[in-house]
Amino acid sequence: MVLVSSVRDYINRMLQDISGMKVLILDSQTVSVVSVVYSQSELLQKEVFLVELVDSISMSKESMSHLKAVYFLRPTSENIQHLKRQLAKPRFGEYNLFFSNMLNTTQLHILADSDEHEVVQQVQEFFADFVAIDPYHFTLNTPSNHMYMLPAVIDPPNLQSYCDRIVDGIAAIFLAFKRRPVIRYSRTSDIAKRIAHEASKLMYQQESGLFDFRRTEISPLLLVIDRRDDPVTPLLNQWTYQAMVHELIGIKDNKVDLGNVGKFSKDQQEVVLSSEQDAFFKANMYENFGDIGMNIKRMVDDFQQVAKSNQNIQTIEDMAKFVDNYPEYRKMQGNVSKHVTLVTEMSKIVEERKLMLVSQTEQELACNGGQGAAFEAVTNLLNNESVSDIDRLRLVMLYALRYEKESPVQLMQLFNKLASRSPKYKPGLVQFLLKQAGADRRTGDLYGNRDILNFARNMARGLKGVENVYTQHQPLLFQTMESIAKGRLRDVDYPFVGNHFQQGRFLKDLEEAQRIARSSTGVV
Amino acid sequence: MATRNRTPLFRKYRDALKSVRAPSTFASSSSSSGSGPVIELANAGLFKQNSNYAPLSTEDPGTSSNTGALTVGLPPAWVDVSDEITGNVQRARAKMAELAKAHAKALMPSFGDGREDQHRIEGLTHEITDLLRKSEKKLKKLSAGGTSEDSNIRKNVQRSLATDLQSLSVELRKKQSTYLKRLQQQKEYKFINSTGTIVDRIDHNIQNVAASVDEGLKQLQKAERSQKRGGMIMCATVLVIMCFVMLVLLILKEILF
Repeated sequence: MVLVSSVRDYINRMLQDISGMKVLILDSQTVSVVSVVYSQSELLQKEVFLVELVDSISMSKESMSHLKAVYFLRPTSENIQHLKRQLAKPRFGEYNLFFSNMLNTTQLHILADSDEHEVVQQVQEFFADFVAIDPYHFTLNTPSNHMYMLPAVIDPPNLQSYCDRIVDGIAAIFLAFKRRPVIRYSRTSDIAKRIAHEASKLMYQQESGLFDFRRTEISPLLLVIDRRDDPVTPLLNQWTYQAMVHELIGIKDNKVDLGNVGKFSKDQQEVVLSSEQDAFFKANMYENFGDIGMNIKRMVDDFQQVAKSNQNIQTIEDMAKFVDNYPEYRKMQGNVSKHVTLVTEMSKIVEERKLMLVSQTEQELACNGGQGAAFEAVTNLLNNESVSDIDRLRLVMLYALRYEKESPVQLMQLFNKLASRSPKYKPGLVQFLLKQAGADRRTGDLYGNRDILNFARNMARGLKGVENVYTQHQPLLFQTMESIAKGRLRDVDYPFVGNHFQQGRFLKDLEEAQRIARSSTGVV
Repeated sequence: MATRNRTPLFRKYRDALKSVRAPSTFASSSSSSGSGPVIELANAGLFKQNSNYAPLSTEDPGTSSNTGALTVGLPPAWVDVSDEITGNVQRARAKMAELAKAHAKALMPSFGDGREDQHRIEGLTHEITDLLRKSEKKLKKLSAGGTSEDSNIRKNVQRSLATDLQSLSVELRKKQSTYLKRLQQQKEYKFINSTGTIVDRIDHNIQNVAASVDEGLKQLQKAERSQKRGGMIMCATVLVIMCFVMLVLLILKEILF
C-alpha cells in the first residue's frame, strides 16, 4: 500500500507486455508522475528508447513504424485532440493508449472515430494520476491555487477544472489502492465541501461499479481540509532536512534547482532528492538541521575511508578491485557532495537571514501566549537590518493571526512599521490574510485556546518545557490526526458526506487518513 | 492497483463507425478496411520476425520488408544492426550459462585429467569474448546522424546495448576470476584430499591384516588337528600290523608244532 510502488507497478504493467522497441509519450503532468518513480535507465531496460511529450511528438512527420508507441496521458480534451490528429496520420507501428484516469464515452468515441487505420492496439485506464514524491506523500502539482482566494475571482470556469483535477487525483489514489473511502470535510471551507461532495458523487454514484471493491473491515477515511484552517504552519521556518530544503531552496518533483542559490558546475546545478533512491536522505529527511550536520560529517568520514583505500593500489588485485568498485565509488562521491552542498548553502542562508533569531520569535508567536513580549520581539526584528523582507512580513502575519482580536492598536503599529521597513509589500496583504484565514474562518482549534481541554494541555506543555525551541510548534494537522485515531474528531466541525459511514465509524485507518490529509493540505 | 480495460468498448465503437463509414467510401477504402485484420496480422508477424531474427538468417529482412512494404515503411538500417547486437547478446548470454555449467563440471573431482573440460571452457570463453568484441564494433556503427528524434533513439539504443554488453563482460570477468580462484583452492587441497585416501588405505590394510591373522590361526588349528589325527592312524596301523604279525606267528606256531 505504498504510493511509489503502486505507480511503479502500473508503469511496469504498461511496458512489460509490449515487446520490441518502444517510444513512451507523456503529457506535461504524467511526465512528473513517471519521473518521480522511474529512472531513464530502467526505461531503457524495458526497451523504451524515446520519451517524448505529446505536443512535441506531433511536430515531426517522419514515419517510425519500427517503434511501438505507448501513450500515457491524462484524459484531458487537449490530449484527446492531439491523439486524434496523430491517429489520422500514424507514425508508429502500433498505438497503445493508457490513460491516467477515467475516460468518458465521448472521448472514447472520438478516439474510435479517428482510428481509421486501426493502429490502436489497446485502450486502458491505469490510475496513476498523482505524483508520488514519497512513499506516503503525493502531490497533484496544481500551481497557483491561491488564485481562488482572491476576492475578484468569484467562480471562474477555472475553478471547476481545478476542482476536477483534485477529485480525479483523489479518485485515482483510491482506485490504485482498491478502496472506497468514507468522506469528511472541514465545515467552514466551501472548496473542501465541494471537493468532498464531488468525490462522493463520483465514487458512490457515477462510477460506483468501478469503486465496488471487496469491503474491508475498516474503511479508509478521506478528510478534505483547507489550508486556511492552519495558516500558521506555512509561515514558520522549518528545521528538518526535507522541509528546510523545500523552504529555502525549493523542491519540485524531487528535484532541487540550485541555479538560483549560487554558481555550481553543470552536474551539480540540479540535484535529485528522493527518499526512494537516496538512502542517506531517506534516513535523514525528518532529522533536525543540527543532527544532519553530524550525520553528514559521519558520511564524509566514511567516504574518506573508502577514498583512502582506493588510493592505496599496489598489486594487480587492488587494481581489479578498484575498477570493479569504481562506479559505486563515483555514486557515493556524487551523493556526498550533493548533501554537503545543500547543507552548506542552507547554513549560508540561515546565517544571512538570521533565521535562528527569527525562528525563535516565530515559534513563540505560534505556541506561547504573552502578547507584550511578543510585540517587543517582533518590533525588534522589524528594526533589525539583517532580517529579510519576507521574514518581516511573515512575523507580522503571525502576530496578526495570533493577536487579531486582542490588540488592534499594536497591530496597526506593526503594519505601519512593516510598510516603512519593507515597502515592497502591498499594505493590504496582512489584512487580506486575516480576512481569509482569520479566527472566524477557521475550523479547528489552531491555538489551542478554544476549549478547556486543549487549554489545559497547552499549559501542561508550557510547564514541562520544550526540548527544542525551534521545533516546538506542532501543526494543527497533528492534533486532527490524534483526534481521528481516538475517534474524537467532532462531527459538527468535520461533517460526513452521505450515509456510507455506518460500518466502522470509529475505526479509522490512521495511515490512510494521514496520507490523504497531508496531501490535501495543498488544497487552497 | 485497479485498472480498467476499455479496449473492447473502443473496438466496438470503431467497428460500428467503420460499418457506417464503409458504404460511403466503399470504392476507395474497401481494400484497406476489408483487409484491416489481415494487415494487423502481417504487422504482428513482421515485428515478431524482427525481434527474434538472428544475424544467421540473411533472408529474413528481405522477406519481411516485402510483406511490410505494403503496410508500413521499412525500418531504418540501424534497426538491423541493433537487432544483430541483441541477438549476439542473447547468444552470449546462453553461452555464459553453458560456461557456468562447464566451470562447475571442471571443478568437480573426477577421474582423468579434465583436459577436455579445460578445452571446452577455453572455447566457450573465446566465443563469448568474440561475440562481445564483434558487438562492440557494431555498436559504434549505430552512432551516426539522422533527425534529432532518430538520433535520440539511436543514442538510447546504443546506451542500452552498451549497458548490456558491459554487464556481460563484467559477469564474464567475475566468472573467470572466481573459477580461477576456486581452481587454485582446489589445487591446494588436492594434497589433503589424496592424503585422505592414503589414510583411508592404511585403515583398509589394518583390517586386511587382522583378517589374515584370523585365517592363519584357523589354518594352524586345522594343521594341528590333522597332525594329531595322523599319529593315531599310524598307531592303529602299527597295532593292526602287529596284530597281523602276531596272528601269522600264531598260525605258523600251530602248523609247525
